[in-house]
Amino acid sequence: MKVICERAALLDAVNQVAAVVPQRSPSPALSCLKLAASRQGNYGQLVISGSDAETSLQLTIMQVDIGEPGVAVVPAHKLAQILSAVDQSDPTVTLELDGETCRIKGARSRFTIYTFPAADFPPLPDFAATVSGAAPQPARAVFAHQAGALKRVIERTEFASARETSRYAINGVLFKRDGKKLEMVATDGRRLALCRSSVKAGDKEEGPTQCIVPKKALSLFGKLVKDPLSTVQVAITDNRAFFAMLDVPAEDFKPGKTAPQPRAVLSSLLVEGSFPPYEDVIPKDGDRKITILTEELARAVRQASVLTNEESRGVRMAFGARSKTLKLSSRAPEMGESEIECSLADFIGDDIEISFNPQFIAEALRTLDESEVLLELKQPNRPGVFKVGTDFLYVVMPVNLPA
Amino acid sequence: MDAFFASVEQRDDPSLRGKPVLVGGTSGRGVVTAASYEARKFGCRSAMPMAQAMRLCPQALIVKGRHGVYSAVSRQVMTILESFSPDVQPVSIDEAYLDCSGVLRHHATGQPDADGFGAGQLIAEQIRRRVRAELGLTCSVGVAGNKFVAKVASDLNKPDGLCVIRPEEARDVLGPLPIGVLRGVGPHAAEKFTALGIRTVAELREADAATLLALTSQFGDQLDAWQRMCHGHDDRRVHAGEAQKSIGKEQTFRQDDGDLGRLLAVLMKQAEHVCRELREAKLLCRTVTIKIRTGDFLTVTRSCTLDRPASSVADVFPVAERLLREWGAGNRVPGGGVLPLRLLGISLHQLTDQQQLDLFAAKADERHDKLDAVSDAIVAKFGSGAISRLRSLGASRPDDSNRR
Repeated sequence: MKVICERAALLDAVNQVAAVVPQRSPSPALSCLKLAASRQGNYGQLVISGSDAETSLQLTIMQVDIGEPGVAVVPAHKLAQILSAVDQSDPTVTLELDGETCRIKGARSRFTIYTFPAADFPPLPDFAATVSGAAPQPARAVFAHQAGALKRVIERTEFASARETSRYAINGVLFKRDGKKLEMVATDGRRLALCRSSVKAGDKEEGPTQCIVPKKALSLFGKLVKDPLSTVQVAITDNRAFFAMLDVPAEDFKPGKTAPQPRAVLSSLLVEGSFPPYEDVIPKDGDRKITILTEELARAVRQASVLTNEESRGVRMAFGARSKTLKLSSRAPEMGESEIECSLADFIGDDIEISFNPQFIAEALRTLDESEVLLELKQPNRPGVFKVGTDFLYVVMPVNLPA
Repeated sequence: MDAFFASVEQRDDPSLRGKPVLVGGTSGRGVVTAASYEARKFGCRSAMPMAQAMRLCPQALIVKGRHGVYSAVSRQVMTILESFSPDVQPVSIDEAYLDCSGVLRHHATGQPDADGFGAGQLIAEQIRRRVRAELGLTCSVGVAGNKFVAKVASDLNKPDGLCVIRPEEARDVLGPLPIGVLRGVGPHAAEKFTALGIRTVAELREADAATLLALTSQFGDQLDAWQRMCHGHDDRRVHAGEAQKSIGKEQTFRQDDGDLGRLLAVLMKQAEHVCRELREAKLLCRTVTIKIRTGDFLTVTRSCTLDRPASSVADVFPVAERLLREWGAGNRVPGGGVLPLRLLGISLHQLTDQQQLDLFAAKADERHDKLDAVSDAIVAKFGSGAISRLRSLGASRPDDSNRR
């Protein structure tokens, strides 16, 4: 194998794939990247793959000149280190496999690292075969979506998922697709984010599909989106989800055999287990309806959270109907107290005082670009619901503060 | 409070009154948690190994502590203090600071009292009178311009004493006291001071530059704080409602024990105890710590932080069990069992009175809460032995019953 690559494009791709690969692994080949150089007609391409047994990522870069096609399996993090250390003056870098070593040449530097046999690298799930039905686990649903729109839905839910699994499978995001409706839901047991979006009808439909996609895969998704208007093709099998990024505007995308080769394919094993009965916990009876400017609330919550700590997380929020103001107060034992005021755009209902973990509110507001949010409350010991339009809602359980 | 646990025992059992009483582990390997003033005459002190105390005072009557009772009495004492000023900072089960600066006018004596110490003394007298009348116990109160001097004052006329140190008297009163009265000067630091010829507060105050230099190199910034204390200065505030830092329970065994099953039963018993105390205080904990001391006095602690604050045995015990099992896995001995333990204990930390509510409150959690509430009620009525989990049975050695 011999490839001349655009240095910046290669570094960027290697960094992204290396982020999936574990730093340490029982088998050294598992902490490697596979570089596969090939010629497709007049073009050359380099496919970079990496995996951590659960998640795998495959990126294709076209800014290459293939001297000799071939495959090299190299330690992921060492390669990333070398590429960022190589001279910036030269816009290209040359990779060359020589027996069991891989030479990496820049303008004034030369590195040689030991590689592993290509056969040691585990085979990654095959997206094309999954979609065509040739793979042992064929897709039960395939659909296309605008990449930027899916990114937005993921960003508005993924943050609320749990790090660890509990009695429910909540260390991932619920992915529900029914016809043109896509709904994603995430919760950690204390708050719940739900975001909806509509998709183009897919080229393969077998009724509603539902699965739980791990947090890790979804947190990698955002970086793969280069052009928000381009297409992402989603395929779901019994135990895996695929996200394939296509350099085709979503408007023009036609499902079928003509689909171009994806620039990136992210795939992940699904989370097994059941998602909690989330529909039951979304309150529908909030009789205090409060409209707040998103930035105004974000500022107030950020200020109030300064004087909270591990043992005292809750911030008391007193909503005044007549004055149309919100007074936030927090207290960190042995440290101090804060009092913050925030004006409300609108308030329907009676005064109410309720306490929340400010972190939970701040994390949700960060994902919003709308100027206003609607907050619905019922009682100090009942969940509050933040709503933006009809596509986003966020349920937060309050904190019980001592009287 | 004066010899708090021992005084409560003497109050509740007339046969103990006027006699040397030691509260603590009765096995002879335990530790004295309180010694009555009669026992202190023989040199018995709290935190001393029980065996040593018994050698010093063989005629002492030994009482197993009733910690539920002590915490109940402690709360009664704190309630009395709170009736004088809301700014009460409990420091331990039998010690608290009271900031009266906001309520002095309320307790005005009618006499000229420019610095408020007249009213302060009046409040102190009333506290002592009420604790005696309502609880049948004595306490010692110190009145001063700051926490450090007040603490020194309360110790000066113990037991059953009252001592007022006005700011202008502080230097003179502190001067002749041993260096160990300074907060943070333990036996180890005191030894270092002695080595440099400093035994009293006044001697530190008047130390020459060379000595100070030597001290600074040993104690660093700590020395500045001590020097301020020497002059009677202390600017720490009274933190009212300051949260309790931890709740713990530990047991020294009659005989070193390496039987993991028995140790887990002990741990369960302790977990039930500390969780009950936690619930009584209406708190939740975020961290569970176990303490392990082997026969060679090597002590280790192992901690784990919970996903969410808890006060239920059902949440706390499994964590403690895992910690003990993990330690045990690395300390197996040939022939079964683990390295024999001299002491095993559990403590709960990062206590909070705030409860983040759950979206999916589990049926199981509700059942645990109900079980806790019912067993708390039974214990409150019939005492701590009345109900316990099956897993805490088998906490004592089979031969223990024969010995008693």
